[in-house]
Amino acid sequence: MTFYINEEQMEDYLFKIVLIGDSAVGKSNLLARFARDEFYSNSKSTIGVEFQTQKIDIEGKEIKAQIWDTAGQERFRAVTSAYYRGAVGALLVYDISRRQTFDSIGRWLNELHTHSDMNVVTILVGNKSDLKDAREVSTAEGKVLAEAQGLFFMETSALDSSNVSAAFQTVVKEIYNILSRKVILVQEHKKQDTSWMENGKTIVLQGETNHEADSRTWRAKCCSS
Amino acid sequence: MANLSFTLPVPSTDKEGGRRLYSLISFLRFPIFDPDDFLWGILDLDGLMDVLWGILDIEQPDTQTITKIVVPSVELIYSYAEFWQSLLDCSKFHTHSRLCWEYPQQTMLGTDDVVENIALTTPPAASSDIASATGGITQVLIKDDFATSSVQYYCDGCSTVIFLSHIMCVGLVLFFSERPQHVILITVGGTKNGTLQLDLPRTFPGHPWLDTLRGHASLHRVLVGYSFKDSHVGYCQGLNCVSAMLLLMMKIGEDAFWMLAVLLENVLVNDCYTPNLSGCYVEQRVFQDMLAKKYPRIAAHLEDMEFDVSLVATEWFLCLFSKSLPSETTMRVWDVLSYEGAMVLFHVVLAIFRAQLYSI
Repeated sequence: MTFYINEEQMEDYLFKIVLIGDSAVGKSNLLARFARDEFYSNSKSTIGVEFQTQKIDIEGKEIKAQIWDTAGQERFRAVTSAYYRGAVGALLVYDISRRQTFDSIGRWLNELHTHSDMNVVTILVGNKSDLKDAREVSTAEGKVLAEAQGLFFMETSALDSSNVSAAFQTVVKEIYNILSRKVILVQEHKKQDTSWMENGKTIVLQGETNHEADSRTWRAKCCSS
Repeated sequence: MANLSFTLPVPSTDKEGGRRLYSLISFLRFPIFDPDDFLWGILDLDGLMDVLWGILDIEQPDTQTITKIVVPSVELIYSYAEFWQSLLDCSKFHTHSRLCWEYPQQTMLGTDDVVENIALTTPPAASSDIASATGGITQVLIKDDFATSSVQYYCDGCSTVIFLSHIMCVGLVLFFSERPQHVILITVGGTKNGTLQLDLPRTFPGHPWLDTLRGHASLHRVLVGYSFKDSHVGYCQGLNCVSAMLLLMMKIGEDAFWMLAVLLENVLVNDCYTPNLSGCYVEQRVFQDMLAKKYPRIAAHLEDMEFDVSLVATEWFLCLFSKSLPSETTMRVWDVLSYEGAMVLFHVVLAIFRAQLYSI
């Protein structure tokens, strides 16, 4: 029995989540705030793709979110869309102080649906909610769009860190719930008892990369930067 | 949404050129009400007039040239400034302004570059638009440019090229080539919220000179200038880092601009920064093959992990290492790059991977 408990603690969830949206809406800063609790009023523009892994605790389970931060400029879409493969979650970010970034949400959704699984858990994020005086997109508008598209919705501010981890956690939790439901379905289907959860199987939700590879890719990235 | 249409007066060839110049100068120094919005403008207007005076000093143009070229140009600047001032009251409006270009063709001198550019890139769909907008000038390109959210007007056979913002005009930039009498480019610079504008403070943030208003303005001029020179490339993220490094080295904006042009046109792989980044993809694939040949062990290792080298190499190739290597090392790489050519980039990337050969 002890063996099983140890095995269960070793159980490893790895969710791949992508951050997408127009240039300079604050994707990198959302990630910096979430993963390192840092904020840079002028961070360098992201060229290509960067990623970071962050541990999240959901219902006592340690979940690793591998968050991919992408370049926002139109011409990088072909580069970045290659990295959507295997993503189970997405944060679709716009800047509440710039309407054009909200207007292009539709194009980003198309992009996401073309290059990834239709079931990817998506949250619409209106960032820079601290810029109250410069607001161009109202909260209601964001909500309406999110409801129409069946997305979660949240307004965040990487600057004062309001709602940042809530946004990430919403996505991760929903993925986890879907996964748990699937597990239950599988269990019912196979008429198996609850030992399924205890047999120590590693569940990797990312297709290509396993956990070990992930830690190594991360190291490779560190050396290169 | 306010719609503002603005028509340039056809300049009359009167003899009051001198007076007009004077009034222009006094006009351009009107007080600035909102420094945040208009600092760009004042910096660029200053530069613009400096350059104009410089040219007049060097060229010592005769009266005919003054009436035919200088006066209309100044008139144009004047009109822009007027247009620009009209924005003072509505600092947030979005306008699809069209500046109607009604200059007689003969007042303008042509450059081969501009003409070639037009011939290659004129989209057929825009031609009806052109005729109404230009009032008789034969070849003009009107192009919607996503990178800068702007409409560009290229006038064949004229020395003036207008670069229009359809969101907000924030500045005037005047560029001269090494043959100043031949190219006058007047730019209503970019959009306030265009990618280019947003990237200025995001280029080496915290740098003591680059991260100042003057630094931003310089970088802005170089990038907008290049987006004019090669409108197919326009502005691509990554060029900001390269241009910033060049500015730091060359000290003078125009030198940095020409260095950038030489880099992109003669040194680097073709089409690296074009809207589909095709050159960059070619580089990635070529590099993958090189890695497999030179260091099969590393290549096999990366393949095992399903790690695509483009994840790290895209930035290296587009920023020419300026974001990833220490600046001294970057400079050394650039030295060799300009001496030996684009192959050097591959050598450097190979070397970076090789450095980790024994840690796997």
